[in-house]
Amino acid sequence: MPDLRLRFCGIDYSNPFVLAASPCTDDEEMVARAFSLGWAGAVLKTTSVETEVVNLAYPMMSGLDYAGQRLIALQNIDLISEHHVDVVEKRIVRLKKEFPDKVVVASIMGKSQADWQSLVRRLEAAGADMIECSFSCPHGMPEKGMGSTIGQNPELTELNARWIKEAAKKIPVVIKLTPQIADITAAAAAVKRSGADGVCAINTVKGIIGVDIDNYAPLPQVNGKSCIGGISGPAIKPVALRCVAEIARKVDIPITATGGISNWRDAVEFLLLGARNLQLCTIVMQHGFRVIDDLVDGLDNYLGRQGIARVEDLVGRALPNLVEHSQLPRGHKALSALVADRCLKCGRCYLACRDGGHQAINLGSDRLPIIDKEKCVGCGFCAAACPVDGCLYMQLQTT
Amino acid sequence: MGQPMDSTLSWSAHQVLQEAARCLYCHDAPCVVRCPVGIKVPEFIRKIVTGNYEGAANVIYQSNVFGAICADVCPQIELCGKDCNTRNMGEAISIARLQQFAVQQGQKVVATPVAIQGKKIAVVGAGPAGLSGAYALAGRGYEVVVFEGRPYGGGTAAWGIPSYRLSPSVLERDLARIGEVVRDIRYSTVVGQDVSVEELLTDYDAVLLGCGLGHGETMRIAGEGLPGVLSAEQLLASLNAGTKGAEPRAGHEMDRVIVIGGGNTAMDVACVVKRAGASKVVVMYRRSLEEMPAWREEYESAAALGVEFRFRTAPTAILGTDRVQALSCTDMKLKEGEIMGGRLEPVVGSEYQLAVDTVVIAIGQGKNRLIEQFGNSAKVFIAGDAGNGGATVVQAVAEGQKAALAIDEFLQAVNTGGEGQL
Repeated sequence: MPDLRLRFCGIDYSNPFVLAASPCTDDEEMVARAFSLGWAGAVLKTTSVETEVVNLAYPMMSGLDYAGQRLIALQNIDLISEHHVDVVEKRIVRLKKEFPDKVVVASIMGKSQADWQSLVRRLEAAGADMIECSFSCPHGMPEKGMGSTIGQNPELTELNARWIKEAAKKIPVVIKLTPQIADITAAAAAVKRSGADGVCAINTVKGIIGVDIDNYAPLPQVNGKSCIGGISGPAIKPVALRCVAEIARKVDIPITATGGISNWRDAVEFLLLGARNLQLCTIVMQHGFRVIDDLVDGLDNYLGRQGIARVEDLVGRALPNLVEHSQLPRGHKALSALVADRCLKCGRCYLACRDGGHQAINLGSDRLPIIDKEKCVGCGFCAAACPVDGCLYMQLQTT
Repeated sequence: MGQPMDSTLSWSAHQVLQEAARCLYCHDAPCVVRCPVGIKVPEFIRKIVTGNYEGAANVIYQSNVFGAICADVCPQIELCGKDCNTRNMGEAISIARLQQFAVQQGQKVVATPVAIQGKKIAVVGAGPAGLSGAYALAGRGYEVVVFEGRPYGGGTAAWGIPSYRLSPSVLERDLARIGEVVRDIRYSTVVGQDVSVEELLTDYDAVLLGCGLGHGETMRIAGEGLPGVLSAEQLLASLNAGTKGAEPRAGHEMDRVIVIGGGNTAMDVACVVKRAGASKVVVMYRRSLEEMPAWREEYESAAALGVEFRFRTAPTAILGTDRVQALSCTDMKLKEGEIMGGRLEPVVGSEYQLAVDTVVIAIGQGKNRLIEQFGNSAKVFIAGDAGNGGATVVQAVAEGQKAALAIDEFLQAVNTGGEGQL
């Protein structure tokens, strides 16, 4: 049986799956239930010093649907936890007592050196295994000089991270980064220079999930008004994968990945691009803590099929195949090819190639596509447009 | 399988969206090819997906003025759904359900601008063929007068389709929409009685015959004249809500009913009577189930309702003194040397009697004799059941629309003096 254990910043996790700082982890009973179901760790919802005012606005979430599919993305305008450090300290004590083998990470946000350092000291004393710092919250907090205001500036990132790392006696410090920055590797490098132990990539992507076209107001609607918020869920996975890979290639620092991970396949993809730890939230909010079963089972079966003994061996395995555009192989030819018995005869490849490609697909009298090898340049769009996986594919030509 | 086909069980908006999202939005889609009126099915489904319900309804009505009616009564499995490509990965799209939804959601009626052409056209029959033709002609600016013998419109859709499959409100919706454009419909006006054939041929530039089939065929056996013996047409018209109660009821309790015939009409009759409360309903068909012309799903829904079937059985006489009391019948077999579908003969000595109070003859309707009276004038056009011998509502609509185009071409040619160049 494959070994799913994975060490991140010196801490051993029984599997790579951790609940991200979110509503899922804003309650002790919820975290306890998640641990019982098999989650290896949890980042408790971001807390702050007792004087911090957290002024929430409701409703705070709105989903993006596409073609009948609910929640391909989620916008939230939630803020940090309403529970201050005094409450979280007690929760950590109890959770660690009940679940000594689970990893309890305290997430914090402060606006001064004193805030940050006092939070770290108190939570470490309470028994937190790790500290995660939000330098990345995209809404609400930046207006107060917090959150992504820090993460978007590598100098501020380094300065704040150094304060936090200095305050932590033994436990590792992880800085959560924002994708709202031209070069995320500059922020990761700043974390590395500060002496902090790891990075979390990425926080939500700043966005507007939609507009209510009947009432002329963006979503989510707070009694007629809205604000820009953080987008999460499957739609942001490509951005998160890119950020993780960029950091992994350039900065020697452990990465805990988050951003659209919804199933074991996504998990494998993030591991292959260099993540050593995986945080989930939106999919859990949608389907419950029970999704841990298939995350673990799917990963386990995948490793078995691939003949890979340890999940550790996946980390970064796809990175050598991520190159610059100029370094891509040239001179070969890959052309569209059809697995005829999978074809639904819908003609979508024909339309895609006619109006979005090179007019290289014709339909036969039996409605099966016929690929004109002279005209096909091998762009690959027909394979993407085909509604059936593995029906149209790109076949490498041997000369 | 075998579920009674109720149009009233409509889907929720969520179910509709899920189903619409399954549509492959095919190029050169088979559903369009299979639809007699060529509704651009993928286009209207796409509009449902995008939330443009008005647009979806307009796509449907552009091709079919009986859009709501056909959504309820079209045999999807035989037509648009037959070659649906989603069958290759599951079930065909429930196009009829999506059409029901679209026509309910999008109610915008596009008023057709009328350009006066100065030509008069008589349409005989306010059924699917006549009204669809009339609508198309009125939209092209012709003066159209529709003559309808019954006191209500809709033709077969009104009297011939059970109200659990086509609700009167749906029928009414399409008729009202048509009425916005076809303004002169003369009800209770029988051509050949209240208005003469000669008058139509003289006073009008063209005549469209959408008058449907003639009366029900008889079996030529004893007792057919007894009270309690009805044609399928009489029976359906008396019970269907689309007639607004304008047709006479059977006049007696129907409790033990024999339906003779094996077509879709026989299935409809059996279901209507069974639903009306008859304790025993038997469909009698002279050949086997395999040979029965009714669509399989029609047979299954009748069987699911508890309708009994006697195959390879034929009536020999209807018995009774002042009304029907029993039906005498015999087993049938293929004649020596015949294969399935071949000639039949009674099984000697197999004759027996069934106690019944009602016999409904559903062995088909004959040609409409009215057509002969119009001779073969070039200005007379035929559409729907009157010409095709009896088919679906949508087929009649298609023919009505096609006839309207032919009439338009004919009259344009007359206008330019190029009659011979049709």
